[in-house]
Formats: sequence, structure tokens, C-alpha cells
Amino acid sequence: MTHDELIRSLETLDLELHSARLVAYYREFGPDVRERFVGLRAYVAVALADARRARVEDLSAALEEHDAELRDRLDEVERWVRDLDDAARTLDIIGDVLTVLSRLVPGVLNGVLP
Amino acid sequence: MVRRAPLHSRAPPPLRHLPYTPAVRTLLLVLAVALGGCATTKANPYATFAAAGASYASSLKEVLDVAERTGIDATSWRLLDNDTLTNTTPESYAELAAIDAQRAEVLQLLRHHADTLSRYFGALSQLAGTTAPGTMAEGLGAIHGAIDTAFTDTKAIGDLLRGNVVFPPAEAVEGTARVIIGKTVSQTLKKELEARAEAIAVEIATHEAILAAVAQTIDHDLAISASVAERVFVLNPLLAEEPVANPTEWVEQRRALLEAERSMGEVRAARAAARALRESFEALTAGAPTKSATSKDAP
Repeated sequence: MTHDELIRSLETLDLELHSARLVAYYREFGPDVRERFVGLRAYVAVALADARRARVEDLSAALEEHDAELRDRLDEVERWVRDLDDAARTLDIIGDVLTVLSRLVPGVLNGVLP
Repeated sequence: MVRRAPLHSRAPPPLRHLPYTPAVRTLLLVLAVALGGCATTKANPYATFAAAGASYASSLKEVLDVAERTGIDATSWRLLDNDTLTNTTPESYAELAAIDAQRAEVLQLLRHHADTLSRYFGALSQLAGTTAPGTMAEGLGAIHGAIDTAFTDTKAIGDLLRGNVVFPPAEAVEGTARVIIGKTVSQTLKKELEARAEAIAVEIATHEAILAAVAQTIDHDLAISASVAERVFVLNPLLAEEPVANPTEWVEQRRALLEAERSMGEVRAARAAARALRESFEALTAGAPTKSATSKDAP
């Protein structure tokens, strides 16, 4: 996965998380789920900003090395966000991809995730 | 949890910030006029180019102001949207606000960089005008001093931009600079250009690279703002059981949002302006006409 592909993927996810469809869906749930949804989409925005500011040469090696894992995770997020079969599980999947990103890509989400 | 009033029932923020076309058009117009004259001005093409460089720096600042404002607005829309779903905490506010602060830092560096580049071109123009016999040695010394300072400042800020907030790899930027000093350039200028023209072309290429990333960021920021604003001002009133309270205002809001979306791609023109500046600089140092000039009048 290239730096540009990562940014495009995060932009697509960020936009989807602000779409009328997803907001209307999560608005129907209780405060805990809504709070988690809002928190995770803020992390997506931060991850996007971090990826844009990161040194490309630092990102490239990590992205190349973990290409398959990242692509699988991002595809999974796309599938769960599209289908919206399970509100909590969808948020888990989004959380998983952010955790993978913070672990694999230097500088991404360093400031907000433990 | 305290439920808030629906966002669409609050006073709407002005939408006039969304279109940003005028600044970009100004930038392109200034460059088209100024660069078009570079190689056609026999007297001092460097003076013309220096004026174009200064105008570029000034117009670029307008574009960067728009970029900064667009980013801040997108964060504001995110915060307002979040607030309709859950109460905002100081921590959650700080996380998103930090994105604005980081972006402002990069854009401020780019503004300073444009300033120092402009100073370099201005001093270069003065140097080009010193070929007449009788130029005082101390006058020449001052010009060389101004060139040295402007170049050092430009390089220092350029290194920061390329090293700390690298969008493309630095090598890719450096690979774009292939400057040849032409035979028609005077000896005074030749010495300066042989030493630094390629480095200056790298600095301009840095603008191209960063402006490409800025354009992409603006596109996304506007898409987020438009998505949230469309939901709040256009969709929510339609989905509500009551008819739209003020149809005229609703129609105007919807039009403003859709027009803003159409203009998203235009900021890419700023990158084209930086490319035009670099190509013109390279053509000028080679003593060749710029693309927009006629070959007959080349210096």
C-alpha cells in the first residue's frame, strides 16, 4: 500500500463516517454507542492528519511490509460500514484498523492512542 | 445526558467562506501576465520575473489563507456534528483542534518561504541591473549581501518543509531541478546562477509538491464541510415532519453548498502556478523564452 493509497482510504472512511446514512444509524443507539462512534471517527480524522504530515520515507517501508494486513483490515472496515449489520461490531472493526495503523505506521496516532 | 436542540434549529453560520475561487484566479492571472512578459522584456527580464515572483508570493498567501480557513471550518463542522450525537469533552475538542494548529504551522512556513523567495528574486533583479559601468562597489556588495541572506533564509525554511513535513520524498523534489545557465546571461548573473539556480528551482519545486498536498487536503475538508452542512441545512429540514420553515432560504443554502462543491478542484490551479514559476525560472536562466513568450524577443 502506498502513502497515497493510505490517505485515500482514510479519506473515504472519514467521509463515510460523516454521511447521513451512518449518522442516522448511530443516532438511534444509546449514549455509550454514540460516544464511541464519535470518538472513533475523531481518531480517523487525527490518523488522516498524521498520515499527511508523516515523513513519506518513514511510512513507505512500514506500509510495504504490512501491505496485506492493512488492506485486509481496510477491506473489512469497508464491508462492515457498508452493511451496518451490527453497530458495536462495526465500531470494533474500525477500532481494530486504527490500532493496526498506530502499531505499524510510525507517527500515526502516537498522540492520542495509548 | 442533556439532549441538545437539533443543529438545524440554530442560527446557520455564513456559507460565504466556502467558495475560494477569487484568490486562485488572482494568482493565475498575475502569473499569466507577469510570466508572459519575462522573456519578451529585453531591458531586464529578471526584473519582470522578480515582479512575477513577488506577485506569486503575495497571491499564494491568499490561497494559503483560504486553505487555513477551510481546514478550520471543516474542524468546526466536525465538532458541531459530534455535538449533536454526544456531549463534547475538553479532551475530544483538543484532539480535533490540534489538527488545525498543526496545519497552521505548515502553512505559516510556506508563507515565510514565499516571502524569502520573493526577496531573492528582488535582489536578483537588482543584480541584473548592475551591469552598467560605474556601479559602485559598495552597492554591489549590498546586493550580494541581500542575495546571500535571502537565499540562506529560503534554503533554511525549504529544508524545514522538506525535512519535517515531507509530502513527497526530498529526492523526488530535487530530481525535478535541471537548470542550465545560458550563454546570454551576463557574467555577474552567471556566477550567482551557476552557484544557486538549481537550489532555487528545488525551492520552487517544493511549493509544487506541497501545494498538491494542500489541494488534496482542501478537497477533503470541503467534502466533509459540505457533507455535514448538507445534512444539517438541506436534508434534516426535509426529513422533519413540519414543512421547511423558510423555503427561499433553504433553496439559497442548498445552491450555495452545491456551488461550493463544484469549485473544489480549482485550488489545484495554485500548484500549476508554482510549476509555471519554476519553468519560467529555468527558461530564464537558460536565456530561453518562456512557453508563453515569442522566441524572437528572447533576451
